[in-house]
Amino acid sequence: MKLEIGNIFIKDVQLGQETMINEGLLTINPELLAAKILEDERIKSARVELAKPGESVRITPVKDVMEPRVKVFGKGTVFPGVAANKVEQVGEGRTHVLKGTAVMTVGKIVGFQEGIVDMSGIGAEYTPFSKTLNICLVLEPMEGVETHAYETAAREAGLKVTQIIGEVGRNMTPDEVISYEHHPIPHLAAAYPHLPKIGYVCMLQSQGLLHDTYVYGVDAKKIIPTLMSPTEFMDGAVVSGNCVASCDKIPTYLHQNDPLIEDLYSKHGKELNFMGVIITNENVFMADKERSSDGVAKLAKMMGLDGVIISEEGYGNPDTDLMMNCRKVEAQGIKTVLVTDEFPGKDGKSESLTDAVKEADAVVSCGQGNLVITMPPMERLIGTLEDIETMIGGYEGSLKKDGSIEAEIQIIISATSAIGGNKLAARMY
Amino acid sequence: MMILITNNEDVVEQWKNCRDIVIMKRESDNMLDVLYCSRDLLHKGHCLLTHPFTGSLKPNESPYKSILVSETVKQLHVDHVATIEQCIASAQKSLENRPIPIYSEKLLRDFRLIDKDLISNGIMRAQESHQK
Repeated sequence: MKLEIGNIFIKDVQLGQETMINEGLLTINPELLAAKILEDERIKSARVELAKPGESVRITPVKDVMEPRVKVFGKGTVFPGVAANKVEQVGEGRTHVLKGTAVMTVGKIVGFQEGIVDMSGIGAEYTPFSKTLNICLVLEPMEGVETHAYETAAREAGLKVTQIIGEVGRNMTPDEVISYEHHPIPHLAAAYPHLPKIGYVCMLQSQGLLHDTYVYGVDAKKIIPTLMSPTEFMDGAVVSGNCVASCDKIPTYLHQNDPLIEDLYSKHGKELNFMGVIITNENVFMADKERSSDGVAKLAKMMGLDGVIISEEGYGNPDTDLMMNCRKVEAQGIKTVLVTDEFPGKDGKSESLTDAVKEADAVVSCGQGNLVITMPPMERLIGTLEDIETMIGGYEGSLKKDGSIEAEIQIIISATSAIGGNKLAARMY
Repeated sequence: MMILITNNEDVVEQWKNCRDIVIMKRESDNMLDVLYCSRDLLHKGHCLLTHPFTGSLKPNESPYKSILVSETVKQLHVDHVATIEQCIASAQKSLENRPIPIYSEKLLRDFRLIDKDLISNGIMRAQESHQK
């Protein structure tokens, strides 16, 4: 499978009449986008606002972040199987990307599970989305719409708008084209016999309402572990439907731009032989955990892997999946490295994870979510501050009179995202 | 048969007429009570059917907790006991650091909804799998 990613560098974004790109300036029509969203009768209001890096802007509550892309040739569309898109295999051909932009869905679903993005100040240092030109969709549900239905509506609204914006890049000449190839397993194994064969196990959040992920439109709770080409992620085959705690959420944007996949590709053929991605879930039912971790270990063995990187999404329940995957993969004689974040309490002295096995002796930390910071007031607000003190990471007294916010960094979107993409790490001295 | 330990009245309401579930309703606004009660059952040889930390919510965030264990008693399942003991230790430490705040009824409703949705997924998977 070969996928060309054509990056169109977007330098600025503005609201206007026509949706177009001119010399790096993206213009979007907010009325057109809002009208498209309001075709869904579960949504009462939709407003489009822009937020740019360095501005004194606070965006909250943020639910998901997506990157506008379009399939120029090759099968299927981006985000296959969701938001009324046909289910067709993706990951081959060419995909154009409006690089530097992001679409954010903003607005309350339940009062504690969405997060903050600050575009400047110390809060901006903790989220990757303070560096993108953000097209924010501020949504409100129709009265009486049930929470599950509204979560679906908000998720689909974000995906539809992201696709509409991505479509602008279809006939553009990209500023750069990067080629990613994924060969059949026997070819891969033969190509670099002297290099260690490495796989990536991507654990997807799959517990229930606001804790789900979709793979080609299938609820990840219902999958058994399967093998994917890394290029399928780039075409949006994996879509987030969750906001676990904001800090360790993996938004759709980070699935499209998975930092582990990027790094594994960059070392492929040099330091290691990147063999592919195994996706698995994080169900609440203990027997599912056993079934899925058995499946992960089996696939790793069948692929002939020497080593595996395992990432997770969330805290608590997923820690057990992480450790089961580690133990069972190691039992096959395959080395593991775990990628996670930590919640050791405000004094930093508690257990960072709620589960552990002795085989977990190589762990990369993406930071600890209990760190408390004070984010200065911002001049402009996109969304509402109504729920700051009850969001995960906030507490009584978090929102100060001057508009500053004292809170744990778990309130910030992707601050400790356990696939990387953030700036935090732990080092041993 | 399965035993559902919960302090969430919405969970009781949803599952009270289900024939293969025995509900142990805990009258507590603290999830630790549900963890202790479940731990005691596991020590007697019941099996853990759903993970004690569903939802990835920290123990000092949601007052509600629902856990499903087997009704049948078998040999002590050491891994399950270890899992719940680790969760209890983590919950104790979190609550020591910062107790659960006093929430508005609207927010409590949201917490009950999420807890209900997550445990219901676990219950339905258990029913489908006939692993009770």
